[in-house]
Amino acid sequence: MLKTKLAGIKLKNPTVLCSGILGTSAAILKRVERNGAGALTLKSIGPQPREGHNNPTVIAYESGLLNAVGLSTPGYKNMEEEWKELQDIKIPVIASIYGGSIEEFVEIAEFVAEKKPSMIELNISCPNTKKHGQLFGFEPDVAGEVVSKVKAVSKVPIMPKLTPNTPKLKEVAKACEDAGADAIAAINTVGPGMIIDIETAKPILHFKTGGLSGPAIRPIAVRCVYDIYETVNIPILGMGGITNGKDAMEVLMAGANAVGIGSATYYRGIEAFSLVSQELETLMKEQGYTNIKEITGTAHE
Amino acid sequence: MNEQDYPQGTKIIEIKQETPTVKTVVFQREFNFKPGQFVMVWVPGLDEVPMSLSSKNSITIKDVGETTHALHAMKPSDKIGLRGPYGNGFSLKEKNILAVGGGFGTAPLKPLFKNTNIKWIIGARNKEELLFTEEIDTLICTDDGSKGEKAFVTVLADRELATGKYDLVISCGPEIMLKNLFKVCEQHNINAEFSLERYMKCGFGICGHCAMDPTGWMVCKDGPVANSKILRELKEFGEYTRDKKGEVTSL
Ligand SMILES: Cc1cc2nc3c(=O)[nH]c(=O)nc-3n(C[C@H](O)[C@H](O)[C@H](O)COP(=O)(O)OP(=O)(O)OC[C@H]3O[C@@H](n4cnc5c(N)ncnc54)[C@H](O)[C@@H]3O)c2cc1C
Ligand SMILES: Cc1cc2nc3c(=O)[nH]c(=O)nc-3n(C[C@H](O)[C@H](O)[C@H](O)COP(=O)(O)O)c2cc1C
Repeated sequence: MLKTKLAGIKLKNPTVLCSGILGTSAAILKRVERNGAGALTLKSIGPQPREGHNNPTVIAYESGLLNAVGLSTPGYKNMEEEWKELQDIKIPVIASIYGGSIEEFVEIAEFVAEKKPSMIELNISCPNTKKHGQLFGFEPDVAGEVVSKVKAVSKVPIMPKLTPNTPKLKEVAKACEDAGADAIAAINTVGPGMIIDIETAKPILHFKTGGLSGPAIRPIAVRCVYDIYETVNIPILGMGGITNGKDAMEVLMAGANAVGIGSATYYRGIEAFSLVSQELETLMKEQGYTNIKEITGTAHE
Repeated sequence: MNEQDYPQGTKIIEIKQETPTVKTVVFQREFNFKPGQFVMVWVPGLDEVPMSLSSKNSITIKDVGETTHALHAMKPSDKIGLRGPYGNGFSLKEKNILAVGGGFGTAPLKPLFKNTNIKWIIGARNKEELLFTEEIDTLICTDDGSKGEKAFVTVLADRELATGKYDLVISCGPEIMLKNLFKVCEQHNINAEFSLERYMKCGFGICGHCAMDPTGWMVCKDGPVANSKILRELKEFGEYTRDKKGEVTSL
């Protein structure tokens, strides 16, 4: 009942671990697998070893999370042990990558494709560093160029991950599809935002600003997935604030084929994957759906 | 999840020099906590680091690097940010407990000083670095023999456990010490609860940075206190850790 497909990749259920949440080592990814995820996304991998920002990097406020981890990474060349360990994972593994230039995206994609992940996600949407990230996802022509150049070196399906922070979301999505993207992931974090501690009169995050995630951004995620669905024909991995089965169904109705689970692990623990699946299944039965495909895009009819 | 998972500024009310390298910082905010739980301590503009609570309103800090140095340089009425408490704390289900503190590792054990079921062993490099030994009746050892017995805590623990009086060993200290102490516990077939450290970011179990191999046991949320069953599973315990980048480095 919960089976779905994303760019030809079969998922036993639509819950996909979002990049950057619990995705730092093979050991914790396996634990997420044991907790019922349909697929896993690795923490975004970058060109060189990078420490990321000082703490505080991740905090929670009344209605969501704010993070500026700053793309910490051991660097794609220093992960041989993890790649080896990842081979034991039975469910699809999506490798997320980022670069500071189109050349770097290509260089990493070429290397990572050899490790045979089920898909490569292009993080062209991180708001938390000065040089890498969302700049590539702001302009349709730049996003399209990243996708087409990466496509040229990778046999593995390519899924750009889009930022909700561009006014040209639809155009960016279209450019990615035209450049050969196999699927689209949306959304990365919103903002950036800032929280100031009034006792010390200082922004709390060390980077001062950070991307919003969790329940606060769900309506934005739903709107973005809805807009992307109207614009392209490739499958969509919808994410942003999905915390329970009802949220998952909402994003599927907006047009997603699978749903990302990220900040929900803060609210519900690592059990979030099996909980969301169970709740979705119950809702589907109540509403008379027999498979995920039937739900995808129903809000457009 | 706590009611509020972002740091909130609080005023420092007192700073005590405990040893040449360790200070206790007492602050205004009070935490309802279980011994062994920790808080994330924010030095505005610099960094945020995990510190065990040494009482409901204090942390006891060893000066080892930039952030701990900045904390040592603070004065009463300066402000730091705190969030927590995080982690599991010691379960203390057993009755007859041996507590072993190595170096500043005695800090998270201090809230248990009132517990009368506990026998204490406190060790340090030398007499100056012995932490809290004035405040409690304890066996003492130093690496250089400048006070107490000239031995490692593991030697004293081995001798105590041989009496058969104990059913739990709790400890915190350098991981190599914990690794050796765990061997002693296993030889005597006595359950252990040790407080571990790994590089942390969120502190509440979502970034995955402090997850240990091969089970993905997260020090911040599942720990920091690991029992014998968990310690046996953790192949990286006493062997390696991951740095801020996520790269594996030996201990
Ligand atoms: C659960 C827990 C409880 C702790 N309790 C105490 C305590 O009661 N008293 C005490 O003095 N120390 C405690 N520590 C250790 C303390 O967090 C580090 O000494 C401190 O972070 C050093 O920061 P620094 O900038 O001064 O040094 P650095 O030079 O930056 O680092 C020195 C060492 O501290 C580690 N460290 C730095 N940042 C972090 C971080 N964000 N998370 C984990 N480790 C880090 C580094 O990996 C390195 O090994 C605890 C650590 C953990 C994980
Ligand atoms: C702590 C944290 C770290 C993240 N790191 C990454 C990352 O490395 N790469 C990426 O593409 N997205 C990253 N994200 C964004 C998430 O993958 C996701 O797109 C976003 O959080 C929205 O989903 P959610 O509300 O379910 O968390 C991160 C989010 C959080 C909260």
